[in-house]
Amino acid sequence: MSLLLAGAYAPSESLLDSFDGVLVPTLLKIAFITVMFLVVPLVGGYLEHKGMARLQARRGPVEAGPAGSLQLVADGIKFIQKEDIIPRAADRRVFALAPGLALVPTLLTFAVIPLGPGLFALDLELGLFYALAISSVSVLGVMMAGWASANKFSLIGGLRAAAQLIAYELPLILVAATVALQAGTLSLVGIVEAQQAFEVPGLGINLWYVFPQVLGFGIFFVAALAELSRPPFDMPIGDSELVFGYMTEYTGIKFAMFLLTEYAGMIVMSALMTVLFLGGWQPLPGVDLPDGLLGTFLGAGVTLGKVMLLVFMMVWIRVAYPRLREDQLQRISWTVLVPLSLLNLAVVAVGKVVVQ
Amino acid sequence: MSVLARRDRALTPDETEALLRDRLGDGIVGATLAHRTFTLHVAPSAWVEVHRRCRDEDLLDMDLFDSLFGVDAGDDGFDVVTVLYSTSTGNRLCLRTRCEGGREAPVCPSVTDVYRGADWMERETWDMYGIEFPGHPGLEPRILTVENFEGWPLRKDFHLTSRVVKPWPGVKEPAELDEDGNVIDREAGVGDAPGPYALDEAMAKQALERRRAAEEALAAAAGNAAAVEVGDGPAADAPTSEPEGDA
Amino acid sequence: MSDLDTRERVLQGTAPGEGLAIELIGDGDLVTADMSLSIGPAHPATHGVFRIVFEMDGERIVRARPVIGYMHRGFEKLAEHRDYRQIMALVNRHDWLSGFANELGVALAVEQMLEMEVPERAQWIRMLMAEWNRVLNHLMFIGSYALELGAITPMFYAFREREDIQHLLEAATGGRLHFTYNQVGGVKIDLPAGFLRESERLVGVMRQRMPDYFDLVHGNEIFRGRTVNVGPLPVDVATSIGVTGPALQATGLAEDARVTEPYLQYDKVEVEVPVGANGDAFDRFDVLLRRIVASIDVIDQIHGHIGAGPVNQKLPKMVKAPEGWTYVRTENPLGQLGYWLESDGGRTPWRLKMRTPSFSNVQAIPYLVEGQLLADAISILGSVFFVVGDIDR
Repeated sequence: MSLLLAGAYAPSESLLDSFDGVLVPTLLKIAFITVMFLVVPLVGGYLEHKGMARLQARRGPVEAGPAGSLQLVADGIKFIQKEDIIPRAADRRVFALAPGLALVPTLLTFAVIPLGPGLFALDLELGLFYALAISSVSVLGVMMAGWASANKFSLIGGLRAAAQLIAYELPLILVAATVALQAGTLSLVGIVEAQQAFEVPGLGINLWYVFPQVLGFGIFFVAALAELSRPPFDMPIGDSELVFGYMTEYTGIKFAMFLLTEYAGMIVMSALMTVLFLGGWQPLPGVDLPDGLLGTFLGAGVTLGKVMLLVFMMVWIRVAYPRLREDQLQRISWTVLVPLSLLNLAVVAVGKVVVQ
Repeated sequence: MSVLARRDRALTPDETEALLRDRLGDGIVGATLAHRTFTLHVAPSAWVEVHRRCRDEDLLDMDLFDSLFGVDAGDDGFDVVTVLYSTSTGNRLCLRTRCEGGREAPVCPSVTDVYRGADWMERETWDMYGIEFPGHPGLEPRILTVENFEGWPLRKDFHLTSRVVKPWPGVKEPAELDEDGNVIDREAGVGDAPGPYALDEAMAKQALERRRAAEEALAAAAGNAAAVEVGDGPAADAPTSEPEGDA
Repeated sequence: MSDLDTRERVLQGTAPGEGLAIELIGDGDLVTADMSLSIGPAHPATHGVFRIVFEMDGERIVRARPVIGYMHRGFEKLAEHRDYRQIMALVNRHDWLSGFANELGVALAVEQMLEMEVPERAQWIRMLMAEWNRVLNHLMFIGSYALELGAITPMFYAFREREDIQHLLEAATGGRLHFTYNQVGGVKIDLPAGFLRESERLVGVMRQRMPDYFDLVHGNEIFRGRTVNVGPLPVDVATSIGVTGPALQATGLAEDARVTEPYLQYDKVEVEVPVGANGDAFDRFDVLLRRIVASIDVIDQIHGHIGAGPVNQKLPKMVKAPEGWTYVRTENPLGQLGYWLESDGGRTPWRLKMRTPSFSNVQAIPYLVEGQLLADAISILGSVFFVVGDIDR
């Protein structure tokens, strides 16, 4: 079986498009993205609350809802009630625009993420490219927030975020390109399908891309942490140095938007890792989902399960490690991750040519 | 460099005094050994030199600068005391000098050139006693009290009083009133709270009235109490005066 | 007027002494100038109201100026208006993490002035309490230093241990922070029944849990990366400034009042004084950890020495120290605490000078941070181990 999908890519049909007319599918897609955007990060956030608590010998939220599961909802309601303070010296328009600019790209990325077979809003031919391009717009919002707050801690935080993005976008994209090279497509649905079809040459065993590209997976994971400013790469908000970095001056709903951006970003990056390396909705390598609607929903469950597993990994790392220093982070990126991801690219490219 | 390496060669207090008298002559005014504390009394002119000797003299080797502080000596003015310690011999030496200038303008030479740690200690002593230290890189701003604090708090003639008498300097409320009770319109700075709002003004007016009432009550009480001391209660409380006995 | 112009106009001179660090010159050339960054007085890294102003070139610190005194409460003045019984409740407040050790110094100073013999059991109880207090203090700093480096977890584990020890001390003293357990001539009351048994059990618990903390330091690459060779302090600079405690021991000098000038019954127990190699942040933290182990060992030895007997003695209605002065130093958890007690024979001290370890240790901060990165400065600030109340008094 050829590793390369022959010919130009034909986008898969979304299940949501099987309804008649234009309006219904469109509304369904909007509803799908919105639900994904608002609910899945909450689940991730709850996992973080409870996971961190258990790892730190405490109980976490217990009061709001069953086992504290509505804590984040309660937090959201609290944030909405808070006074919206804009510092007098702040650039009001930029200050107000920044949280939105950080949030919307994350929202847009959800459009191309496939949850199960046929369960996605869009299957773009350039899905991977789109996801990476859009998600890096977020940092503009962060920089705007840092600049417009007229606060030095915010300014340093914003600049650190920008420096971090430049350093870590490169290994991230190099690794993503390697996956695309192996799959022969940039469509996220196509990459999942290519993984289902990928077999070890000569053995006939179906494998996910994480096995041939375990190096790439590691690099992608580290780079994703850095891009999301998650510990141990949370220097842009490092609370013991910069108070809260670019978020220092924000209150109420705008602050909540930054928080939502972070949690949604975790979900997006985990979903991308699931799609690129962990076989998307495939439960196990070599095991296919049943056909029909049951398979679709099972697939969604499998994808979300993998996403939550990765989110938990991020939480685990947050609990286990202190924060790096900004220059150490840059050094890791340019002297370790970039060369390794280039090596990864070369090995996969050569392997692919040899196998063919 | 190991600790107490030369414990057996440590000088006794008498030997220490003899050694420093030999080096400095009349610079050493006297010595006391009481309550397990050995103190050398030094003339101000020899103050810096005695520290240098204590640090550099191989037999003394006072390398650890422990502390420097002032002591009110009553009518005679002020004393400055330093405590030195040797990590190699385990000896401790207290040096004490009487500042020149009496109570009006006490002056003591600075030992910051000998020990780095004297920097803040001398700033603190200046802050607390008003003792000038010529040769110090910069005694101002006041290190512990607020910058525009008036008086030298540890002098015995500085009475312990509450802040009812001396209002807390600086901004404390969003709305501030001048003497006539009008809101002061300040140029707002970065980081200032928004406002002042009507509520702030009302609160500031109330506070002003309370303070005036308290000041009147205090002025009435001032006649029979030498020193007034008030606890940490809010300024609004009627000042409870507690005459100090033999303080 | 463009937004940028407005911003510059608004910022100049309104923030405490500075504006944003970017100014436009000529034909739009962007030139950077030194920016002054004020950390504190209310900043997460200063745990208390301590302020340090950094002049920064980018992220590198050119000059550092600590500003202290935000928490000055005039303890030395107050002490001149309180009798010795009241002073005991006053002094345990300046370093709120080592309340017992603070009281101990004053009690020793007054006893030295009175040439009073303290019952032996009282001395052992004082040592036991002082060592547990030291463990409490160090556990707090383990948690808070890790927090400063961005690791949130050690705080929770340190507090688990702290709670156990707090309960133990609470059983004897009734206090959690401000014990007020010392009095001139002994301690307030005898230990409750079962105290020593519980204390022995806690020694076992602590010995079992300490390896976890050592793993945190020695096994965590990022922790090492953030602390090794960060802010090294040479020993001669340290002594000249008057740095004591873990920060001095980290420079390689085993100076510890419990060994070099034993007070109470410390000459009858074996006290190990851990030292570091080059006095960097890693050494300081490592010494702090090993000091806990040393204290636990001392506590274990005290259990074998503590015998029956009275714990205090009858005092006159009003304790009056004789005329003269004395200087007593004790090894506080954070370093050397000295009390200069000068009396005119009255019921209150004429002068009570508190030589606090934090005040002298913080003086070393400008020396340590100049030329370092901002992130390193935070690491150094945490590794000097100070309590703001102890600086300002």
